[in-house]
Amino acid sequence: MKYSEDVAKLVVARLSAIPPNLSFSIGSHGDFTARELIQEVKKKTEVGQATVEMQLTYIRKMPQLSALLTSD
Amino acid sequence: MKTAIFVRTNYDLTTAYSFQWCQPVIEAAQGRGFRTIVVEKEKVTKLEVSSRLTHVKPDFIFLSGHGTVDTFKGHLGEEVLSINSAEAFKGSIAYSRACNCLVGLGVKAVEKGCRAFIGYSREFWFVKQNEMQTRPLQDPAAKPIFEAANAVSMSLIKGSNVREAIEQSHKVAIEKIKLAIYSPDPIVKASLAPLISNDSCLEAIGDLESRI
Repeated sequence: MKYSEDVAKLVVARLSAIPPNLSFSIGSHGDFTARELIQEVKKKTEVGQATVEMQLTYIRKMPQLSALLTSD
Repeated sequence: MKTAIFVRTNYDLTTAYSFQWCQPVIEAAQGRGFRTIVVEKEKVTKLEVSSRLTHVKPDFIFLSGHGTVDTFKGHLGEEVLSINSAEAFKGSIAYSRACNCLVGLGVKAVEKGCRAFIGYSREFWFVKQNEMQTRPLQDPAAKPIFEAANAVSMSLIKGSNVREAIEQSHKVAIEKIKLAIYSPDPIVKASLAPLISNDSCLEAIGDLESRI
């Protein structure tokens, strides 16, 4: 999937908030710290694209999740 | 007596986590009186797995490891199950905790007689805390993700049909998501995006009314 610079910036901003002692496992792609994922996103690699897709899924689901929280 | 076969690899950090998180499901199956067969680590080869599935004809198959659209990979990445050997799933309900398997391997498995195949249509993500890598079951970052993932199998083992098991998995995921949203702990919060991503690509194909 192609993504714009604005989307990349958004994803990078979100990843920058992740504590440095955490790492993400992405199947057979391996393990990445948030800092490493940021580089992958900037380089638009396969891992970068998967990262963007994961973050965009989260953002798109937020309205549904907000509705769940306010219905409690 | 119902039979469950658990196939779990353990040769890198990702598979090590998933390996450990299979254990609660194995114990649940044993507690429910299932005959449980575990094929693990270096035994997860094409020959061993194919032989077991063909001869045992299990009611439930749980796959834990790396995957692609068309394959499930065994020890050190050996192709163990693929669209060319999908008849091995015949007669069983299968759950695959492996990336992307649903859309190729899962489809073919159901064509070849798998009662239902439950899996992920994209990458399975999880997050882990570096200090907890030797204790995956206590890792607060990974725990909500794997507990949500295990909910499908737990529900099937307890007698739910596939549709009910998927719904239960979504319910558990929503509860974990809520906890992550409300948590002040950034480690728990980091599980949020992977939880949502995994839940959104968890699907089942085949007979959704079937049960183990």
